[in-house]
Amino acid sequence: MTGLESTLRGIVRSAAPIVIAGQGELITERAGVINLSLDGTIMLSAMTAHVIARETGSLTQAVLAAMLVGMAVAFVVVFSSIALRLSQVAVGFILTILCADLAIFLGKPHFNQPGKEIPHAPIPVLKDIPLLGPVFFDHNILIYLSLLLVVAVLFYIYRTRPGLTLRSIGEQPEAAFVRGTPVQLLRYVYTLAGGALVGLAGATYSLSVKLGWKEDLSGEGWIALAIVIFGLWMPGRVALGAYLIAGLRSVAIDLQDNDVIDLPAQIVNMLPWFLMIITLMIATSGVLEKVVRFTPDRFKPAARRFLRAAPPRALGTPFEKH
Amino acid sequence: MTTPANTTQRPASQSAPPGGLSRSMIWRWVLDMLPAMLTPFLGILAALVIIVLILEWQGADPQVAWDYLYEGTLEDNIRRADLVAYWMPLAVTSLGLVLTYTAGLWNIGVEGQLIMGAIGATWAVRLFAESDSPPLGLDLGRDGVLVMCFVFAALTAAFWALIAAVLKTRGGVNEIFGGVALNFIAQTFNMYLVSNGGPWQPTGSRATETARFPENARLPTFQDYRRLSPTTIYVTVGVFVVVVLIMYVSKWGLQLRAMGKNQHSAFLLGVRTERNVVLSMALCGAMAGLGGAYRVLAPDVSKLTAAPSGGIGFLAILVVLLASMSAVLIPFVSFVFAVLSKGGQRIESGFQWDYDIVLDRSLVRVLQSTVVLMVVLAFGARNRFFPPRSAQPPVDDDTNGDTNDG
Repeated sequence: MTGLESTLRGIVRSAAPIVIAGQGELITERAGVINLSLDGTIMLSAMTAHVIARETGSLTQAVLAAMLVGMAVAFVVVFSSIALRLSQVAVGFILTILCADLAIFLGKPHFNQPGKEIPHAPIPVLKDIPLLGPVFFDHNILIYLSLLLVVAVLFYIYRTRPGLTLRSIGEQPEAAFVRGTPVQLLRYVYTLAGGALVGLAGATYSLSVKLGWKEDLSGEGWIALAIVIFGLWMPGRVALGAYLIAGLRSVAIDLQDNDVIDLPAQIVNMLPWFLMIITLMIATSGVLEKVVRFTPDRFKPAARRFLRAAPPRALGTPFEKH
Repeated sequence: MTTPANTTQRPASQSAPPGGLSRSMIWRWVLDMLPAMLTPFLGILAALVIIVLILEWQGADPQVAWDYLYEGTLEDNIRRADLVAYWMPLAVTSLGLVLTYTAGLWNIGVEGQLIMGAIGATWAVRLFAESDSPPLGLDLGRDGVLVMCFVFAALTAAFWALIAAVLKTRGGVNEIFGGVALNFIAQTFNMYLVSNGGPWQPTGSRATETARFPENARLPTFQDYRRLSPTTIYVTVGVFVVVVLIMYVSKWGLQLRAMGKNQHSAFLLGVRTERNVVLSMALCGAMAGLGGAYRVLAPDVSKLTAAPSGGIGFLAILVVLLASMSAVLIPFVSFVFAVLSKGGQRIESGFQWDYDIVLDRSLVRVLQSTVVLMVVLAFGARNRFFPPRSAQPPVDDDTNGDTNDG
């Protein structure tokens, strides 16, 4: 394995949880609901997966339990939004803190204990393709899942009938309702589905990427949330953002080991956050519109399609039947 | 939308009968207010039930936990003084947050602002109070040094809040995300200063903290309670008065409320929303900075540690949400939360020593956020299923006006 191959392989691996969580949050937000609790949910589900795997020895049960945790938290968000008409941001933020503290409290006895790992499962023939093989086909099942998920969500949202409905309840819930779409029910469904994926992301951390439970997951959920905005609510771009962050982190770690450039570790730790601010500024401040304006006419439609920044129009607003 | 049927003559519903309040009106008022008063208690009750269940599950007696909570916070005067010392930074930070949350600004960056306040205070100590020769060569005396500490803390933290505010108004970055990122950056910056040969770590030291502050940078303390400083109490009371004046007397407070209800409408009505966003964030940051200064200048700390905030910023957000942004409720709610946080340490150590049960102190943080969640949910349920009269759609209030002319 060459240096480049192992670097890229590491990026695909370490980006997997953010990719999964990003796709989950994307589905939720496309349905018009903001689940702000990602940071806490990922911690709680990672802790759950680690503990269940240790106690029962069953990785399947561990993953399922983590997904259930994610769904439970998502349920509180969507229930309080739809049934109680509370602010999604307020409830989501309280849940972020609650879940993180709950994870720390319940996970204390299992803190820093050796954890179980999802078995490594290289795909027989494909893994021997030069470059692509080691990068994409030499992982475990959760990492493959993260790759498949991007394709699946892309296909679902843009190429299927239910995907069209999903977009419509996030953009124009009134119109969708008039056409007979059960808006509230589908918002429940997609928020729960997104929550399950966030739980899966937590399990991916504790069972594969950052083995075990170490309380150092704080921040990952916020990065995933920011990447959904950076990706302008498009599955492919969200995944791209996740790989970009993972790539920059791996570069930063390499820089840290470098003897020539003496970079304090703290500067490296700050990088993702500077990046988060800068990317959000680029994504939301109208710079992209200018880029579109100055592209040659031939490429304008393509540029517009790739760069147009618009959140789902009904994002975060409750839908009321009249 | 009114029909001619009810445009006829019904007196305005507010007008009281001539002989003062009738008994039925009082009764109706009580019935109206009852859910509002009971709701928070229902929420708190639900949270307590959850915590009791967790305690039972962990094999700990809730009654004993309650005793530890009391013992660790309120039993004698020394404990009470320690409690007040913990309460003050929480209260002053929460008071600042009232300004931003009323305006609908989710200032999650308050944790980072608190840390920057702590750093600012330490910076002032390093500039003005180093015992042998202060770098600036000024001799301000202890009072002068402490004033500079508070000023520096407020300014650095306000600067940090301004970054988030400008990112929001000019960069289009939501204050939640800007705040989260700035929190992590502030934390990391603080770590950089005091760890691994950082510029503020004393040479030769391996501890991740600065040296203890010199004598002329220590807050005065009470005669009998060496860990509590009256200065923090005076400053906090002053901040409380300022916030109450802003919220209940000044026109600016009214503008903030209007922005919180609907920023766009407020803008259309002539409120300078962008200026108010920046101002309220900066003021909130300054107050959080004072909280940070209390934390590092506290007589028993008196140095910048690796985690000067100890999560007080996030706790303050919970306080403000629970107090539903009411400035006058802040002292009480933050007091209860301070009791829980302080008591949590005693609960942990008590169960460990006396019963050999490992009960991490994060349990009380779970309790705090559960209480807030449950109270918020309870209010949601109340407004949804037993709406207060003011929240019901008006039936005949708009009929005698000139709103419909067609």
